[in-house]
Amino acid sequence: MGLEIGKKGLMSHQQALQVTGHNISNAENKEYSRQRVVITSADPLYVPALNRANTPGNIGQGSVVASVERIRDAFIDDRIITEKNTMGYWQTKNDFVYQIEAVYNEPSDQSVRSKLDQLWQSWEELSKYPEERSTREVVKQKAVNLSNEVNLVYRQLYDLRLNANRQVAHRVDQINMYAKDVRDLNERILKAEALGDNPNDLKDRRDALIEKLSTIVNVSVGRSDKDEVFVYISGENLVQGEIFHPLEAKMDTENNGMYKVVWQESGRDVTIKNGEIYGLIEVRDKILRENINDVNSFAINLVDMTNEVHRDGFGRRGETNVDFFKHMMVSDNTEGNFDLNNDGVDDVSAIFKVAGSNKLDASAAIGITGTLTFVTNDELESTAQIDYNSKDTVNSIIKKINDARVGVVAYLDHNSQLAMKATVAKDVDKKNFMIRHLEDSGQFLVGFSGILKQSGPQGSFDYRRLNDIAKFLPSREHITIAPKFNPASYMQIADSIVNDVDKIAAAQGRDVGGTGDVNTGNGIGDGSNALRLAHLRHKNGMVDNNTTFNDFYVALVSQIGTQGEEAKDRVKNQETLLKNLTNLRESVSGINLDEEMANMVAFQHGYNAAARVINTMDQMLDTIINRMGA
Amino acid sequence: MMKPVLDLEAILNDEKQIYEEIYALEEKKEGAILDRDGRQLEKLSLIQEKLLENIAVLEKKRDRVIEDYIRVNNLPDISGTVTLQEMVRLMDESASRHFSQLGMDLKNILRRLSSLQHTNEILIKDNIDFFNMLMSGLRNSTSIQAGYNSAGKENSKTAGSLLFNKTA
Repeated sequence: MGLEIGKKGLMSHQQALQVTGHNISNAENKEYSRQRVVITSADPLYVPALNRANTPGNIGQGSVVASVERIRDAFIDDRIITEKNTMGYWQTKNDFVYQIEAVYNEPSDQSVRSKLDQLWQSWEELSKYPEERSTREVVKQKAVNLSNEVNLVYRQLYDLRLNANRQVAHRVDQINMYAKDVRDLNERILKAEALGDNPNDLKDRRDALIEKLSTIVNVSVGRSDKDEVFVYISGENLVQGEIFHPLEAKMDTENNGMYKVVWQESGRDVTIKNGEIYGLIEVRDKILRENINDVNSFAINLVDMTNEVHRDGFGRRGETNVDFFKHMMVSDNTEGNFDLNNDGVDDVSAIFKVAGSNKLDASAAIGITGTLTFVTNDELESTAQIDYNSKDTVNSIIKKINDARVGVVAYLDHNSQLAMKATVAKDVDKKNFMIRHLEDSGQFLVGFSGILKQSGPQGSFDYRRLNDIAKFLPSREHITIAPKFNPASYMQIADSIVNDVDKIAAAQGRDVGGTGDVNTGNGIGDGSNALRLAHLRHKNGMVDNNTTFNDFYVALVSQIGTQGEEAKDRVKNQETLLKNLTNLRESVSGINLDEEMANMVAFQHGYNAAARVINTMDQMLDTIINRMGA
Repeated sequence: MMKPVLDLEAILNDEKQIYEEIYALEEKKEGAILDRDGRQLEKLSLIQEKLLENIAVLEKKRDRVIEDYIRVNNLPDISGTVTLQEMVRLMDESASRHFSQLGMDLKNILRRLSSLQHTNEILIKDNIDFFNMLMSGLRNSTSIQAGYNSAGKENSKTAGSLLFNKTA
């Protein structure tokens, strides 16, 4: 019996030394949790019989290893999972916003802003020397440079959007891979525990995988079952013990074919609230979409405003009504009819801008009453009404329209005619720059400004009706068909200007014959139209935002700068939080080599002492067998 | 520029500077939390409190300057709670740009400060939760069956904390 006790001591301490060695060899493994041997006494000998030997107490049977425990704290694990979720979100956002900032390339000589400044200066120079071909060439070249830069910014932003989209699909694959591994580990852990083992290392691997998952998507962990963990995304099971519900990245036709994340089995959308994938979706569908639309808005408004003034001027040989920038229409017909839903049949009237026929006094009371009706440019397409009364001025009505944010903005153009144009759509990008509905119960848009032919619903323009361009009073040259999608991508100078700079309309012209209209060129020495174009720099050309082109662009760049600053701050803060939590975890689960060395010495002593017990027992037996008796 | 505008500029610059100081102290507080240095944390909080009192004084001054601005410019339409943005709209281009920038700087430092304060709150909460758990682990000891004694009876014996026996 004594030998058996000694043997058990040897075995217990040998196993304890093995565990200590395992700890030491994993000292640098960040996913590893410290393990500890629990040594307990073996069941004592106790014979419940009346004739048993009358000796005191039970007879001890030495020690056994009861278990090898993993020292881990679920509280810290859950906190780390939560903070890694948030970290993933901000890190992704930070990475992309940094790239967007690089696209704008501000401040530099090669940015859109500096090229826009150069274009304004070239118009001013042309106004001084309109007779010189060289100044015209400079205007052309500066406009080409600006257009190329706008095209480039668009292309880079769009590429970033595609990159974010690709990464969404990649993250879905990663989630599936990690979740499947968690499922497999659940299975192995369950089997090991059924055999009475403590699969600590497998549990460490499972925890590490869950942490990786938490960086990608908002997961939470259910630990109600002691053998298996459940992994949830927004309360729905991703891994349920040995069952794994895969995700799928599916193309969303309602979002330009971008990927959306769905449950593969049911096809339902996954509710994603945090993590890298949430950051990617937000960057793709909000930040980059807004930036692309802002650049589009900048391009179309600059093109339209320039063309508006340029068309009214005269070239060196008296050419007029010539566009400076190319306007590419979404529609292939002059009525603006367009197939919006891609079913092969035109279904909408796509009109970008209409300018009234009458010259107006901006600050005089209009003396009429009525209600303007619009349709909002969001998914609801609800009706929005604006009342006006006799005391209102054109300026006050313009302010009311622009403040209402109904997807149509109004302004007085360079001829003091009321112009109304569409803005970026809030619902789908395909409907950008399309006026949805214009209606007036009174005469403001009708007889007063000369935009609509007739009052009331029967005289209203609605984009959902074909050929509704006929509801407008002005001639076609005062109506602009909606531009082809993403005008920033193809912004360029009109071919006629590229081929012949003499057609640049530097001259304003004069009214010959008292027609009330400027109808004849003023000769090659007139640069007043070029000056009007140069002065666009100081006009609030971005009507929707009530800013100049330069200020709009500066605000766009500064907004992304602010977003970048915030993302950088948040990443730094998350790093601090995670550092603190990691330190707390290390204090519980980390390997302290000093402590392990002390344990090793203690276990080695224990082992030596157990060997000594065997030796002593052996000597005792030797005494009994060989030295007693004879 | 008019006197109220110049006064306002000076006040906003002072506010910005004080908030920057508060932000720097908040960063030091973060270090103190990580170092578990309660005394330093208390010391820094007291300095911050003093700076916040200065901010309160500046806010009052700002209200008075805005009232002056409304009176000087004869702006009856604008209420006493006029925002900086509304004032900027009435200024000339260069002044409005300057004030917009100043306003944005102020907003930016406040946003950063709020974010850092939130982080520090979470840091403190995490540490308090952890130490509460540690304390409760140390207090709630368990008992195990511990062998035999000379009288042949098994005694229950108090063992170490539950905390380090926890398995995830």
